[in-house]
Formats: sequence, structure tokens, C-alpha cells
Amino acid sequence: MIEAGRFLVKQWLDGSAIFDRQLGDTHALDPAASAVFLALEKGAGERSALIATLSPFYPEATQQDLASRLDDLLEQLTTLGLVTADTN
Amino acid sequence: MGDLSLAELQTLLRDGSFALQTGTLLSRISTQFADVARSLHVLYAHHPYQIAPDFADFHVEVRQPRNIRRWFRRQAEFLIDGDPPFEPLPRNQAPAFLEWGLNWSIAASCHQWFTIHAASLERNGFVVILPAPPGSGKSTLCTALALRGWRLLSDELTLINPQSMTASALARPINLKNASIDLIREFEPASVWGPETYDTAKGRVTHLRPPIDSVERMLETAQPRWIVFPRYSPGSDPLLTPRAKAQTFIHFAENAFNYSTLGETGFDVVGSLVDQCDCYDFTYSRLDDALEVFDWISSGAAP
Amino acid sequence: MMHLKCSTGYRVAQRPETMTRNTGTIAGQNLINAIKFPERLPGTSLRDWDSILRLAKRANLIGRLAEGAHYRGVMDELPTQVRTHLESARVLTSHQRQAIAWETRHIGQALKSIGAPLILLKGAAYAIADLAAAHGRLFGDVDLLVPRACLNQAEAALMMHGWASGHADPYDERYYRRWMHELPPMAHRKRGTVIDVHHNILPLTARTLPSADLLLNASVPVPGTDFRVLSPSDMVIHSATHLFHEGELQNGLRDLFDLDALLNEFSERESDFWHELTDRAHTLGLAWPLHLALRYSRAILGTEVPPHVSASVSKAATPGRVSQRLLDGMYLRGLQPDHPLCSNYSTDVARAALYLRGHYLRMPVGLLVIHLGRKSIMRLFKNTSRSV
Repeated sequence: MIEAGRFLVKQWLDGSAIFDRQLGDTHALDPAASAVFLALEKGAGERSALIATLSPFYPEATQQDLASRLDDLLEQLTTLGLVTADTN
Repeated sequence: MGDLSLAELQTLLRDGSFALQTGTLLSRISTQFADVARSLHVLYAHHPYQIAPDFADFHVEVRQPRNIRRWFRRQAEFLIDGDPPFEPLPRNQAPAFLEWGLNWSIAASCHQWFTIHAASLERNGFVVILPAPPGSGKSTLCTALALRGWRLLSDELTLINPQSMTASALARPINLKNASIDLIREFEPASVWGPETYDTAKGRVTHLRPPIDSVERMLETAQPRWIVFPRYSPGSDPLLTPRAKAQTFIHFAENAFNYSTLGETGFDVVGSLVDQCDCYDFTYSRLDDALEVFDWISSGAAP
Repeated sequence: MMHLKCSTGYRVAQRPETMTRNTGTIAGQNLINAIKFPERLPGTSLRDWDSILRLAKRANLIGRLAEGAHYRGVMDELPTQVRTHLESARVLTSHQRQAIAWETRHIGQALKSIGAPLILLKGAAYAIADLAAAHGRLFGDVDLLVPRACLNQAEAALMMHGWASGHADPYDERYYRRWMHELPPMAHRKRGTVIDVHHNILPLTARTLPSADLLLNASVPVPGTDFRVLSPSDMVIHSATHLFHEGELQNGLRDLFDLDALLNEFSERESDFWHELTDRAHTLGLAWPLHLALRYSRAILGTEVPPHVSASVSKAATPGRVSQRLLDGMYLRGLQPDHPLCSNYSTDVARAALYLRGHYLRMPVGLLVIHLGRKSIMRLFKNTSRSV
């Protein structure tokens, strides 16, 4: 999940830039990560929805591939403090 | 400043009453060094000046350091408000030291602007920004453009007003090194130069006097419209490719002098800048090619 | 603490009377008045402004001056050129205020797990407690006090979250650990910000070491944060002990203004402040530095100290010089190595998410130097966020 109002986001075709107003950090995300981040920001936290968000970026990938890419991505985003794991 | 004789300038510099106008900044300069006086006299001949102004934005001095070394190896140090922020340099680099010291002073304290390490020049009312790491040929390219119809704003410090998103000019001498010096001498035989020195780290170093037009119009601001990352590649044909915006954002966020200092505003300014400008990577080897491509960019024909 | 260490080993103390060769103590007094009485700023001549601003920059007080002018609402009445400098200083100090909040949040995240009381000291404390002493101030490093038994845990937790010991010099490192029984200052690898973790407000080698337990027990929590700060009396005493070196005013005006701000705010806010302050100084064995601090603050800044308080503090103070080793310890902390500003994390192309920049408490002077092509080493400013 993502705290409301915490982040400033600028988005372009090749990725996005994020400013964390609570910690003063700036991050850059590639297009796939941006898509996932923005989906989470809008509240679409369901795993299947996030996988669906990712699939246009990796047209050749299997569902399993996508799932593991998603996990990797979520881990990176969590390390940067951009998202926190839901407790449900 | 052309109406001041060298002797008059030297007197003013000695008693610290000389103040130089570059863009909106007035810098009061004090020095006993004759070579610094000569350098200023040549490089800033077109610039306005004041004598003993009530108020100056910077008070700088270039002098011999007060340490044991003054008896052995001759050195020069730069001071601002009486503080020497740098270790001293060899004495013969005093004129260049003044330039670098002023650059530092502006970048370190002028937070009314968002300051980028890049060259900026104006044509047809719009500004091109040339960011580049050292050794990319940015200075040579910047000089060529300035000598061929582009108005120089700055070769090192691009100043962006965060509210209006316009770029401001300093119109100061251009710093050139090594082979670039010879290249530009050949390119423009009528160009006027400051003293040349040799530095073990950087090689040959000198400054070029800015064209009179850029000095006369130095208070005019203009909108940034293009961002071009130049890369000098010997023997190559010119190649202009669009550059991804997020990539460009990353560069500015990592390399602007006061990105962090401006906090959220820094983020906003870089975002807006990247939005409002066409971003390119540009590889070249011949200056004439580069001039042609930039002509084309400035004509608005580029996508 | 801010002083310049020249390459030849001379130390230049910044005292008001030696700041300007030409104008001497008059300029110093003008600056003091400008900060204390911002309502008088309109009508100051450009000439006077010229020297006031220069002195303010040198004394690291331009932020305070700007903040006072802004707060008093007189900015619009000042000449344009002057406003530009003051507003620029405010940009810097506002950022710093924000940055210290960000940095303390980062620190809180890292140290929450050790379960120890975390007591911020000095600038960071003023900021987090929203005291007047924080207004317009530049912050360098963050100073934190923890119980001695928790020092190692704190170090481990910080290292896990990206801090590393800042000393390039192994001798300094050993000096800290073995002789000072302190942790060396730790710099965050990505942000370059520095944290100094202490277990007392003075090093173990101090002549009079206050009881850390007393300090910890009297500390107060800051609501809404993971941190505590020293009690008002302890904060003032701490500020006083750091002002002096061998009985002389060392870092001068900037620190003195801090002390003045603390005294004014607390004497107004706390009902029995002066009495508690006097008692506490005696209990902690630090009446002498307090005596000096009060004396200088009154003399230079006109701080209002009730006469009976001065008298009783000076009576309780055991005369004597603060030990050289104590102050050497403080100076050593003040000499920070340059932090490379270019991120040194690897930008793995395969990474989808990339950390770019954090905030800086110190001005990225290293970056400026590298970009301007000078490899010459910047002279060491303890607080490189000097507003030039």
C-alpha cells in the first residue's frame, strides 16, 4: 500500500521520477515499475491486477515469469520505502 | 570597462573598490596581482563596472596566502568575505582561480536560481542547455555556438528561475583547455584570450572573452527549449537522437548543484524543465557539422 | 562548532572582533542589532547592509538574520539586492529544516528496533522540539545520546541501514574507540549525512563528567516522534559547555545566539526555570561553563539574566580551565572528511527501481569542486552548509 499525498510523481514514456515528501528522497522507476507503483497508488493492490499491469511490458512471459517479476519489483520498491507490505 | 586604462583598473583593484557586473550580480574584487588585473582588463572589456558601490553581491579577493610557503613556492589563494574556501594554487594560476572562485561562489550561494552544471545559449528567443561531464567537448561546442550567432548565457552555470522557468545570463569568459584552445583559435582568429597557464592536473588552461552581444544583452532572460547532451567522438558523423525524458531527469537530479537544497521545488523544476524541452543526445566530431545541426534545431524544424 | 583548519595547522577562531579587519567591532555590533531588532531593518543604508551581510555570512548567521526579517514582516521594505540574499539564505535554511526532519525520520526507522531511549542533542533537538533556537539555523551533523550499554547495538543498527564509520584514518578510529570510548561519527553512504552517537554530553576524559543517568532520566519525549530531548535546563547547560574552550568564547556568535534563544524561550515558558537551571548546574558539576555562558550572553547579546541568578551560579562555579583533552575531543569530532557526493552505489541496469538522491545537511561542495574541475581539497568547514 501507498500513503496518500506522500509522493510527487512525474511520468514519461520511459519511466517516472518520484519524490518522497516524508524522507526527502528522489527515485526513478522504469516503465514497468512505474505502472505497478501507480496502480498501487490508485489502490489496485490485488495481485492478479498487478500481474495484469505488468504483462504488456513482457509479452513473451508466462504467468509464472510475471509473478516472479512482480515479486522482485515489489521487493525493490519496498527496500526503497516506496511501498509497504499490507498486513492482510 | 573598455574606457578604463589598465593602470586605472590596477589602482582600483589594489584598493578594493572595483566592482564587476555579470548578469544581475555585482562582484567587488580586490587584488594586488598585476596578472589578474591584466586578465580582467582583457576578458571583461565589454562589461559594466562600478567604483566603490554601496552594495555588492560578492566580495572576493585573490592574494598571496598567509602561510610559510609564501617564502618558498609562490602561491595564490581565493577568498570570499575574507574566507579562503580552497587550498592555494600555484601563483601563475591566479587569474583562472578568480574565475573558478566566482563560479563556486555563485553555485554555492545563489539559491534564488536552480543551478545546473551546463552551458546555456540563446537563439531566436529560446535557450539550449548543454549538460555534459568534463571531457565531453561541451566547452568547445559552447564556444563555437557563441561565436556563430548564439547568445552566450553561461559556459558553466545554467541558472533557472524556479517561478518563471526562464534562464538567466552571466555572460562571463569561457573556460577552455588543451586542444580546444587551438581548435577555437583556428575557428575564430579574431577571438580574444586571457593568459594561458599550465596545470599538471588539467593541462593548458585559458579563458576566452565573451562576444560583445552576449554581454550587452546579459540581463535578458529566455525560455529553455532544448536540452542537448553533446559527446565529442573523433572522426564521427553528426548524430542527433531523441533522449528519453526520465533519463534526462535522472541526470539533472544527480548533477544539479542545488537540486536537494530546493527540496520539492528542485523536483518540480527538473520535472518542468524536462517537460518543456526537447531532449537529445548529440555525437559529433566537426564543429561545422555541429553548427549546422544546431541551426536546424533552433529553426524549429526538429520534431 | 565551526572553525577552519588550514593546511598548515593554524586554527582560526571566529570571534566577532577579528572578523573584519577594516570595521572591527562596530560591524559586529551592527550584526547583533540586526538580528536582535529586525523591526529596525528598514531604513538601514545599502552601505551598512553590505557589511552586515558579509559578516553574517562569515559568522554563519545569515539564516537567523533572514528568518528574523521574514518573521517580522519587513522583507518587502528592504532593498531588492538585499532581499535576494536574504531569500536565498531562507531557501537554504528552509531546506535544512526540512532535511533535518527527513534525516531524523531515517534515523528513527533505523534505531527503533534497539528499544533504547533516543535523545537528540543540539541543532537536531532544537528542530524536532520546534524551538526558536532552530529558526534560520544551519545544521551539520545529527547528535544523538543513547545509554552507554546500547552503543554497540546502535552502531550495528545504523550500519544495517546504510551508515558507515566516517574516519578514513585508522588512527582516528582507534582514538575514538579506545581513548574516547565514543563511536566515531558515521556517515550515510548514500546521503552523506553524518550522525554522532554519544553516551554522554561530554567525552569520558572530561574533567567534570555529568551523570548520564541523570540526563537520561530528566529527558522529555517529543510527541509524534521516536525521539526525546534533554530537559530545558540540561539543554541550556549542554549548550553552555560547548561554547567554551579554556574559558574563552570559541565558536562565537552563532552558538551564543543559540544559547540566548534557549534562555529566552525557557525563562518565559517554564515557571521555575532559573532556579532549576542553577540547581541543575550544581548537581551536574557544570556551574563553571554555565557561569561563563551567562556572563558572555549578557555582555554580548544583552540576554536578560536575573542578577541573583548570575550571582548564585558564579558562586557555585569552581573556577578552573576546561581541560584541553576535553576540547580536543570536541574538535576532533569537528573535523570531518570530505564526503564524495557522487553516489557510489552501483547502478545496475537490471534494476527496475533506482535511488537517486536524498537530502543534504551539508552543502555538496565536493560536487561543486569536482564539476568545476578543481581537485584541490576544500578547506574543512565543520558545517559546510555555510551560506556563502
